Amino acid sequence: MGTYSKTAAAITMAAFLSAGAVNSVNAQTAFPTKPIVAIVPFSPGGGNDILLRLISKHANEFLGQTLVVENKPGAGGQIGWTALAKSKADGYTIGATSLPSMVIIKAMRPATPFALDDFRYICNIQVDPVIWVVKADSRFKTAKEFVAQASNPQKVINIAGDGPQSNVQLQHLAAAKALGLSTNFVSFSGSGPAVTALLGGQVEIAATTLSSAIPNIEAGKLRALVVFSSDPVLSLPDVPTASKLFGKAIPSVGMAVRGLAVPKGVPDDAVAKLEGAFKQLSDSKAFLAEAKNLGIMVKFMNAAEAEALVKESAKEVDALKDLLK
Amino acid sequence: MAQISKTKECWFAVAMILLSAALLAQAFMYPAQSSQFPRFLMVLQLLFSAALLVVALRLPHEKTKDGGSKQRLAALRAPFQVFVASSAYVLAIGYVGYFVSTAFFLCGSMYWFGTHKPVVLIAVGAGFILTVYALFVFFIGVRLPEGILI
Amino acid sequence: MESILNGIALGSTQLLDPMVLLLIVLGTVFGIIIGSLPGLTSTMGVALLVPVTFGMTPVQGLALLGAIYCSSTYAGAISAILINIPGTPANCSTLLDGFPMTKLGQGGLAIALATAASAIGGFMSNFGLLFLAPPLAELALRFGSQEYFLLALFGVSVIASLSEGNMLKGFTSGTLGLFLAIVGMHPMTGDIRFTFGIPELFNGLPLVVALIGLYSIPEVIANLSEKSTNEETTAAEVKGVFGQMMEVFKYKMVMFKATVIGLIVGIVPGAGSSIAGFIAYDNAKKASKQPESFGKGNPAGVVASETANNAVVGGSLIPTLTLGIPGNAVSAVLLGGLMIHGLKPGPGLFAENGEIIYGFILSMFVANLVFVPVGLFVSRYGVKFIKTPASILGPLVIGLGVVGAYALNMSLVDVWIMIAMGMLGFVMKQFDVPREPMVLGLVLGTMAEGELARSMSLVQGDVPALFASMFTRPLSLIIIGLTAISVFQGLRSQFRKKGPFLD
Repeated sequence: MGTYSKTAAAITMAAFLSAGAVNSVNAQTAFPTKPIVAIVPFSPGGGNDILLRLISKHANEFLGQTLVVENKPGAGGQIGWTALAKSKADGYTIGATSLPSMVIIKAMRPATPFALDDFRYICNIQVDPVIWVVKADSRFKTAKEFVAQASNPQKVINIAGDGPQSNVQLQHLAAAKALGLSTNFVSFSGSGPAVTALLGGQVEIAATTLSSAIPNIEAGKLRALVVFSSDPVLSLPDVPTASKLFGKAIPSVGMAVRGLAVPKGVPDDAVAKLEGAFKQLSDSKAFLAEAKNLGIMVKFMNAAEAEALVKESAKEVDALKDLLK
Repeated sequence: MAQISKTKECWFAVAMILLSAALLAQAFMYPAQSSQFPRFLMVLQLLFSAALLVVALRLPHEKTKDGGSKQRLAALRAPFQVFVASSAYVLAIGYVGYFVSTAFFLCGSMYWFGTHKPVVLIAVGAGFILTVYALFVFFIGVRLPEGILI
Repeated sequence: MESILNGIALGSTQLLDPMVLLLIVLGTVFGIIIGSLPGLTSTMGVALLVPVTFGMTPVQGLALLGAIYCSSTYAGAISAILINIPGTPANCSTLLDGFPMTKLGQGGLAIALATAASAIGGFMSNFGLLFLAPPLAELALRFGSQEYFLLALFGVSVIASLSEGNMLKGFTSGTLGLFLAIVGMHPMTGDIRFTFGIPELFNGLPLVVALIGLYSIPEVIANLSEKSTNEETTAAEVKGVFGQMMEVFKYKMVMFKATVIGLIVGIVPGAGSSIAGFIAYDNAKKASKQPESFGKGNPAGVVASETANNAVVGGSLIPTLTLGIPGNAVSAVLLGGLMIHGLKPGPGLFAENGEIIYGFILSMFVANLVFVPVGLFVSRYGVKFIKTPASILGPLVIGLGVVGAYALNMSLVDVWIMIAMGMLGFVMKQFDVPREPMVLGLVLGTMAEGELARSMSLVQGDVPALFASMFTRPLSLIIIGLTAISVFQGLRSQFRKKGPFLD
């Protein structure tokens, strides 16, 4: 009996071990073999959350595994990104990235316990430029009219926007500096409340991300004056870009670029697999159709481009960060 | 309601005065623009606590009871048990993982708090863990903390 | 009006889907479990089930989420009444009279009243959502920063009413709550204050986490300290539930006012169901002929707060659906759910996706009906649950609190905060300091500081201009007037009560 059970145990052990070995061989070729967790460093319902949940809805088809969204909000994303940087580098924990927010956090709070090169950037999927937006019946018919009015330091105009220390505020202050405006940036707790304040007539103009203002623009309640991006946006073809309109270089430093990253140290093949899967996903008709309906501007950037963009953003933010203090 | 005791009330008021004074001092370490509201609140708190002290001082002296300290110690038994058990539990979650530490915490603290029947301990512990597993992990897909074990 | 009736016709065809009805029932059961277990909240229930709805049609998914929202808001009353721990933050004001009723052996009656009041509050506010959404959304837009600030002051004025016996201690508790809420980033300058380097505190003390600790742990300690007093407090008269529920109609006026309060607080983005409960409670108390019986088991207190917090549900969905701006944390999560199902919340929603949205609103009427029998069934066993010895119940309550505090933000630091708040709650209980003012402070702190700072920024530091606009904008004037009435009533009842003692 004793010998028998020992033998049985040995056999079972051997079976387990060999199964483990087979599994690990498979893992080399067939990553992923279990669900992947995506950390979203913001609360449910925000821009990053919506994007990731949309991706997760379609991910199964391209990854062969489910993508589980896990919200780890707090401290403007710091908590979630710290958790991502410290998570196991096996490719089964990925995280949502958001430029320039990650860069701004690091610039404003140098003691933040993650570094920008703690991550391997897989890809970027969405861009969300900042716009100046007014009520449909506003006295500012064009951005130039606003700029003319806002150049008088005796009569400072209030502008609402997400803040403080947000990408929106940075974008507005960068533009104000380039154009010599004297405006009073009033921080609201998110682009949504800023749009509400604009609709309710508390302010005459707001700086918001495109995605949070678009439903009201399409409904004819709000009007976009100018978009801070290098190219005009498809959903608002008539709205001019800032650089073109004002004829000088205004950096689109506040444009939110959302993508995915893994902690440093994830094997190359896993990164490649993820990158390929998300590339296919962001090209797929079903995903694009739903993204368009939600006002999400899809623009895929691969790993190399995403990495380069982080460096560029870090440089731009560093040059302008004193504006936020 | 416990009997209103003069000593107790005085201690409370003094503690509140010290706390609000410390926080007020801390508030002045931050830029004025960012700390007006906390400064205002702590000045208010200081006033309330001072008023509490005045009220407490005007209370009649209570009669000293025999065995007061012993009774007080006995009254601290339950809070001591609860905080030790729950702190150890949360500490363990971080190192050992959720499920193992939960099993130990539930059985251990039920035993410590006075339920000694093994059947009850195991049934309640297993029931709780199964429910949490079914609800969070299986049905909803939440990841509970993993440590060395599970 | 015609378009609304058309919408109702369209929406009701959606409800004929048996799957939708089944999901409402399932959602209600799930919501009642989540809601009645201390530590597990409505926000969490809805957030956790959003991914589950991916495979469903939009109406099915939304019906499920809506049912969870309605039923969990109600079910928090069960644990508030039976074990003195609010199941969700919305039910903080319910325990003020709910638990004393249980101690008087009227736990069954309290639950029956809470159930009926919740259903009625939910029903009425859903009517508001259905018929009055556009004008109420217009009202929500009129709320500017200064109105938010005044609203926060109005909320603070309720503190006096919550601190029976010792007004000074109530104020101390409320001030501490306000202070704890504003630690972290300054809403305008971004400076970080009083966090001791803990990033979890950068956005203020996490409210729900704090509440779990503040109520669960002291209750566990109290139960362990008082040996075997539990049996006698549970003369649970479960029979004749229907008759008990009908008693709710004794409080028609209380319910009417509470519904209006809930609806209006609900449409104001950023306020929340706990504020509505407190304000309605305060209102019922001040309007009562025996204000001193509140806090000692007056059924009107339970009815007022449960009507109001369920009336918030419909109200909070008005700005969510019509403006795309969530009224509170739960509707923010629902908003995300809507968007994943391809709906674009905002002015165009009702026109473009009428049948889905009307289907969703109508499904919540059904949900408000369904939770009545399910809730009564659950609470029947809940009443037995409190006979469980403290040595078993205690670890279970702590276990639930831990998993709840963790699952909200997936953070162990939050669990530590929960335990620290538990210690604070215990100390407060030792010194007879009421906890409800602190809850109110925690809820209102960010609003008070942030909106005041924002109002100042909007007038660019011109304080006289700010004062002038507070007394010229009609909405500001109304809120100031209500606050004045509330304070005046409070003072009057205080004097009236002191009267006999002075003789």
